Amino acid sequence: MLFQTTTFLIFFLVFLPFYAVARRRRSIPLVVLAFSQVFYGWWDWRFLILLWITIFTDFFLAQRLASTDVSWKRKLFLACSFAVSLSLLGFFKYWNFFVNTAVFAHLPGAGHAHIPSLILPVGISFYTFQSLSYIFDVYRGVHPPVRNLVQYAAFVCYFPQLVAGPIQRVGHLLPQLIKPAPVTPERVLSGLTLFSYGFFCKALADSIAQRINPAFSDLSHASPGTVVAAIFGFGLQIYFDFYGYSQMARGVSRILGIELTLNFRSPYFAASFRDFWTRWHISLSQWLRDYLYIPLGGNRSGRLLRYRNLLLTMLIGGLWHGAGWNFVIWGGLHGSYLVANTAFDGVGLGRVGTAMPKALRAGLGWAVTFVGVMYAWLYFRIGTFHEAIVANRKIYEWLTSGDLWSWSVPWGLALLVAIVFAIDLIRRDAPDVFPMVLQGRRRVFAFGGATGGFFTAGIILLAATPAQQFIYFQF
Amino acid sequence: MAPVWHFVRRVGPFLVGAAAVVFILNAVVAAQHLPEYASWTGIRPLEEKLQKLDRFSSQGPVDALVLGSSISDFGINAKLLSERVTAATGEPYRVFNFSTGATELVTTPTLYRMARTVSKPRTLLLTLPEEGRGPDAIPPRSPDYIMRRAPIRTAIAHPWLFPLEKRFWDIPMVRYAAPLRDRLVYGRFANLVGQGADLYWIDDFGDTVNYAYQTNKADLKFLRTAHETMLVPLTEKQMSAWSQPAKLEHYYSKLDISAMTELRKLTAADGCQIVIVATDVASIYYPVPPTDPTFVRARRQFFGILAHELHAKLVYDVEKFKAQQYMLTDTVHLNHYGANAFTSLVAASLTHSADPRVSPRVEHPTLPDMPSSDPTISGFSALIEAPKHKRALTLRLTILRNEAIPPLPNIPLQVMLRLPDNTDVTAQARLTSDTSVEATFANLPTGPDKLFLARIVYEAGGRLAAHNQPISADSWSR
Repeated sequence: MLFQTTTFLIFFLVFLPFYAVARRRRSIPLVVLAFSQVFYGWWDWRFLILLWITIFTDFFLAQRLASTDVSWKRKLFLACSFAVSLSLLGFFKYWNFFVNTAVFAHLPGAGHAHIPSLILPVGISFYTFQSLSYIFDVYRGVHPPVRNLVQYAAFVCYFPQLVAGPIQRVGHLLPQLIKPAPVTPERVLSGLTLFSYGFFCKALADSIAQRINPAFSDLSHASPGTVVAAIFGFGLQIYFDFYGYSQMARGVSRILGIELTLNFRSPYFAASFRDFWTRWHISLSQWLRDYLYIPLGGNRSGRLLRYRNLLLTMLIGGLWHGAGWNFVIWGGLHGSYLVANTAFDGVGLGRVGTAMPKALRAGLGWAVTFVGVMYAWLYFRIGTFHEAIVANRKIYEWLTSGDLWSWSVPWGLALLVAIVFAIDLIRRDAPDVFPMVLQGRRRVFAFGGATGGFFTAGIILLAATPAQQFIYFQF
Repeated sequence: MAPVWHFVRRVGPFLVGAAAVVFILNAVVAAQHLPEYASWTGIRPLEEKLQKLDRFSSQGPVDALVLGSSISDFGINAKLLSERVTAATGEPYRVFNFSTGATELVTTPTLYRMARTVSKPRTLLLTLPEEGRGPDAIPPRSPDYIMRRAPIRTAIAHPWLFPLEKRFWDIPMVRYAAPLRDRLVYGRFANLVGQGADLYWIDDFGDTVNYAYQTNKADLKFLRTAHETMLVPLTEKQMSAWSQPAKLEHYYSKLDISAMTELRKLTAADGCQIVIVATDVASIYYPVPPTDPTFVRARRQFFGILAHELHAKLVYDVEKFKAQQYMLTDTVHLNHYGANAFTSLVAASLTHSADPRVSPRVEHPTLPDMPSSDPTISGFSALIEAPKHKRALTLRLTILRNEAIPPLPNIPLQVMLRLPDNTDVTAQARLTSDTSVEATFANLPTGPDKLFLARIVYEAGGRLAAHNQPISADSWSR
């Protein structure tokens, strides 16, 4: 069930009266849980089985883990939780990847292990990470175990963020599910604005895809300039797509009085790669930091180990996105960027930068980050090594052609992109893209106008096109 | 009261702001004169006709709605039918031609559902030719195939959601979303493709007006022979012994049969009477209607069984309609003159009047087999009526201007007329707009029942050649 469809609209309108009653009777988790099953089962009811295996496993293991002080037992329960969750994820998401890699390495019998009918349950990476964060928090004593299965299941299944995040921590989401903030007109209006902005961003992403997909489907025949433009276009597409989804999810949730964590903060205005990862897919990067990078030793064990940890974290982060070597390369590139970024600061080369005027330094940092991030997206989009080689050759031809600006820019689309970027720039360091509660008659009027504008633009960009799945649903 | 007022004060400015922007943007889109993409149905001429039907029905009741394929789209003149029935009965009678290309029996419930979103006709003139038993699956590229993949599919069978959906798609920002999106994404109307129907003008009665002549005798004979052997009639014994479902299955596919049931229910619910107007491919009418008893029997059975199943009245003029060559556009379709002649017969049948003059003594030039070796004659040449009197000798020819047809070029053009005595006269053309030219002639034969073969030509390599743009209208003036 996609947010931008009438099916979701009907689902949500049916949900609202139940939710209103549940708020009065303090049974929100039960209603949220029930409707989340419908929402998720809409794709394929069989997916619910995996979801519930994860829920049951982590719920009961967390109870057992919290009930003992014996270190090895605690570690055992944690390991069991990991084993179950990662086995499910590993089998459904990575089995064929590992088999294909084995086939590529000519391992005997590997070809027979391939399961062509294996389907990837939508959002499995997201809810697995959310559930794992919970048991980790219980293990570390950050959060007590949840004693109520319905409440815990509602935390894992909460439909606005179930399939593509933002990945929530139990300490943030669960208290709100039990006792959400009051639903005021101002909050609902703010939620509507956020939702319509997300709808617009998603529509923009699909329009960009329309423009760039022909180039990616025939890279070898596309001109070098077109390939480079398509790579940049994909960088915009994936941002608007995921950003749009996140804003719609947050908008829906805000209407219900439940605030989801911010997932993006003007990432394409990051001044460095490190800065980028504090702005892009924030809920994942914080997860990787808290549950992978820091347990690996973080930056506490010397420079080289820190570089290793960075690289390893980003490689795993890349693999989390998708079962393919292209995602590993993408993660590896970002790991390398972060290592270079850290090294640049660490060995004193950063002082070279400090000699420059502040604006020039910021501009240079932004340009290097932007181009580096865009280049890495290439590996997110392509499917084979051959395509990667062709695309890189085209980039080289473009750089050496002397004709760097031969793209035909669709100005209408560029204008819409500029609107989002302008908002990003203005709200670069703000706590949220739009205020949580709209106040003041003029301001409310202006936000109403903006909502109408986003909604209309979204309709124009999406009407009579088949509803496109969000890119991150596949992860 | 106070909490309500408080709520309105808090929410009001937001709603006013949102509505104002949506309203303004919608108005801006409506003012853009964007091309029609037919995003709702996927079939542009059909949506154009639906708009025209909407306008038509806003001016008065729709007494009859013609439904059929391109055969009745070209071959029935709803305007003339309206005039003839009105004249015969003394009561205003308004007919709209909602036929669209490639319609089959299976398409008719969908077309009827579409039509009733804007108007509920009193009579449905189901105008179809006999055909061999079709497949039990929707064939690719058919209107049904296209519509089952277009947004219209979602609510079409729903009684109140479908009219709402139609209104939704009438909102300019929705209706013109696709061309706007193309302009934004590509800077041009990249996904706008020309269609065959773009070549013809649709009048306010839904008639697709076609003055072209594109046939040759060999093709006419070939298709006629093929068509005559298409149906296998039931024997007298079978006709009396077989049940109605068995007879139906002999001539009609399962899809056709279920479409008949659906159409019967829909029309019954609206109090609309179905009248089947038997028609045929153009080559069947030329030079005389077929007399082969097997074919004649099969065709009678085909329409008789259909009429019985639909509880419909049958207008059966196909056996007496004799077309002359100038009435045919091609092997399948009649042109404007053929449509007038056939419609006159139908009007007489509907009003129980005496048969009209089916084959008037029309004087026209000898029509060559097409494609013609004469470079000035092409499929875009048009048969036009001679001026009524000597004083009106300035001819204005108008072409359509749409997605498929570019404006007239700004080059020296001439208008050439082939007269009934087979002589050609030529006059310099004056470009009066990017869609029309005027030319003044001297000493033309005048009077009714005379046709000229008109074409726009230009000089190329020392000789005249046809300029290939379809003529949609002509008029004579002083």
